[in-house]
Amino acid sequence: MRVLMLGWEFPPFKSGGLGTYLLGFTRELNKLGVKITFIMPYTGKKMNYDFIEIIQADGIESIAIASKLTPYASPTRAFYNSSGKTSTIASVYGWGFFQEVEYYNMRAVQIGSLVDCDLIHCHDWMTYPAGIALKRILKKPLVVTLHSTEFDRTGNICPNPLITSIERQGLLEADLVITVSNYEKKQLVERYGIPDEKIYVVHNAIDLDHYKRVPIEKYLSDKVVLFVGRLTIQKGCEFFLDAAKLVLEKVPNTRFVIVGSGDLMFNLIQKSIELGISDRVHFVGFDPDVRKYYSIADVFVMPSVSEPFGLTALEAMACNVPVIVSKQSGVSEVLRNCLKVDFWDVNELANKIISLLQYPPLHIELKENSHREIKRFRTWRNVAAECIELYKKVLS
Amino acid sequence: MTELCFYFQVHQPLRIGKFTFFDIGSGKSYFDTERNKTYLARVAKKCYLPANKLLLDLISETDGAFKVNFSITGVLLEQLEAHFPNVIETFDELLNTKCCELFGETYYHSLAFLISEREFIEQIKLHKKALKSTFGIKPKIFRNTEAVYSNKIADVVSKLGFKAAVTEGTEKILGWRSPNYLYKAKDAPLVLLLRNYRLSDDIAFRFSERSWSEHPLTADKYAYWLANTPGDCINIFLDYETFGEHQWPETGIFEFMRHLPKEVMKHKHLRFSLASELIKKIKPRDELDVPELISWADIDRDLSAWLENRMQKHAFEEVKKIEKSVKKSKDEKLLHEWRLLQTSDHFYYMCTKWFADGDVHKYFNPYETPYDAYINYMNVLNDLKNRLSKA
Repeated sequence: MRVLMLGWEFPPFKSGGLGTYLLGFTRELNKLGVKITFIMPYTGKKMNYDFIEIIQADGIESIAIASKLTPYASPTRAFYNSSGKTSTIASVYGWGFFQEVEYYNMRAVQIGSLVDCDLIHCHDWMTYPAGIALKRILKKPLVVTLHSTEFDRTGNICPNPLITSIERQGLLEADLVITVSNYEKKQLVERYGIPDEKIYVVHNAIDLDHYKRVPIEKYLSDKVVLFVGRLTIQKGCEFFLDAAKLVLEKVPNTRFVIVGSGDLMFNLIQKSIELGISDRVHFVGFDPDVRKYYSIADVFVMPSVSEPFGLTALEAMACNVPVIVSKQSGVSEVLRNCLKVDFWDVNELANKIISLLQYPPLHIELKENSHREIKRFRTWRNVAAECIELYKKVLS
Repeated sequence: MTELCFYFQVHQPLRIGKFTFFDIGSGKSYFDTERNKTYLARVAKKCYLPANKLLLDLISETDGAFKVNFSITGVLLEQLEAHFPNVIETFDELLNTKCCELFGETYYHSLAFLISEREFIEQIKLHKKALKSTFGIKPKIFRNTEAVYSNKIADVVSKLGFKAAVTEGTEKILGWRSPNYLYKAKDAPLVLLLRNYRLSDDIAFRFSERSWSEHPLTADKYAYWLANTPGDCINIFLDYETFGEHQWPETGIFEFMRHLPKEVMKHKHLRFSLASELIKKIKPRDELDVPELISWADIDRDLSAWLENRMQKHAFEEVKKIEKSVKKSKDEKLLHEWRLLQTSDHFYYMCTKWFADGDVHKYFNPYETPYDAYINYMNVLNDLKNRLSKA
């Protein structure tokens, strides 16, 4: 089976969960006999893998502009960028953003139409226009995987209508839609009116060989509560800070570490100062290898406002860290041994963080049971095998 | 003659309400009165009232040949008196027929035996007092929480005047011997009635299980099994909520019970018995040595459903530790609430053993996970300790 796959990131070039997903997924897909040609935007980085043929859509003039091509860097986010001051769309990304998307899609169609394949598989909205065009040119079925919607990414505050229309069109044109949780499937049915029977859920997996504790010296005796994620509305970091404030009133010797960058970085730093906890909150920025943070964490929190899946929760568990996840996430439907809260319930989040810090039996029990659970968790092999079944379904 | 001893355990805990770390010291009350009342209303409507009515009818239809035994916890009696006194009246009617017997137990449905002997005895006495004042009766048979039993327990309860105790007829204590005879406790003047778990669980668990080869279980078939079971007595011990809750009315559980006495009485050698009659009519055949605690729970028949993981052990140790200071405080409300926190259900909710499979422990469990159960419990206990330090 030959698959023409379209996506916008692949390790080592990655900014979020999709890169992690694609690496694990395509490697296993290839082991199961699928040949993959992958078209992505030009990154300027060399990518040589034996299990996948990667074509970087050349011709985009500057690397800097090309690297802005992630679905998270949409103009809408600019509205929340700096506190108080109105920032214009153009001042942050320029109108060039959509032109870049358009250009990538155009090149992807040009390149893709020469590829010999059985089906086309697109990941996330930026590749959907090309996917639709290629479906018509090649007369091959189109499978789309939806890793997150514009509604998720904006926390449903001013979703960009241009993006939602591209998402809707891609989902409607697809012969089969794959998404990563029942939570997300529900969103697609309710928000986009996609027929239920066309959507299949394939939950994500974890690579246990990679995600494990790494040796690292922890010099401070303070307990560490960890957040990992892009600093956008979607990831709910502000709730993490509100909870931190409450926790510090009861357990002062605690530190809050925030790994990730994003539009809200400045606002969040500002907020931590206003809350009077900035000496206890550490913004470390984006780091491609988060294992060292997991290795020193006592509690991991994923307070997402709307999270299609939430791979970081699995990563933390694999690194032996007790996990608190928001109920508004896909991962919460597949995990048993973790604590779950509504993202807006800051009091309850703080209650659970404090309990994990103050009641050692809870900490140990959760750590052990969640580690046992993750050892038996799905692997990328399962994900690949389930997708192949869906490929067969769409081809028959 | 084979004596049939049907015994139903009647209990609903007083569940703890949401209590966060921030509530410690706030004076917020521990128990979720509304939620408990809602649960109780449901159980009363689905189980207690219709089942009591059915049993009363059966007693009168059979001219008293049908007999039944109960134990009702103090925690439940308290709640019924406050919200559903009509349920108590129906139990009273059953007792008035003289075809119904009540067993004694710990008032708080607790594992008080593991707190201290003194606390265990005090709770049994409290329960005795409650039975006296509510129903005017004095129990002769003892049933410990979840049928927990050992030689030591036999020693203590026999000294309190109990003639017999009920526990699980597990191979762990019986070996090759049958549960269908009376036994004698080791080194204590106490008779033991052992639960026939196969025949009991046929009703409690398998009744509505369609994959079971004997499904559907009919009254005549079950009576036939009873008639063909060798021994002096057959002890069928069930949670009373089996009727209408664990087994919904749609399963036909009430119809099964309605026809059972009639079908049983077709077999001339079968006879329904009150436990205190039974121990007069038949003699123990052997002595049972039970050095380790056993129970009727799960498949392990031990205390692991309540006291296995670290959270359960820690929570129990913490509640145990403060016995002396609670009693020294002479604060009646504090003492009562400390004891309410001993109710075994709180520890059951923290059980992680079956959590992975999402099994039986779900029933009326107010928590999403065992971890939530522990967090809430510890917050409440810390509040109680805080009050204690100020008392």
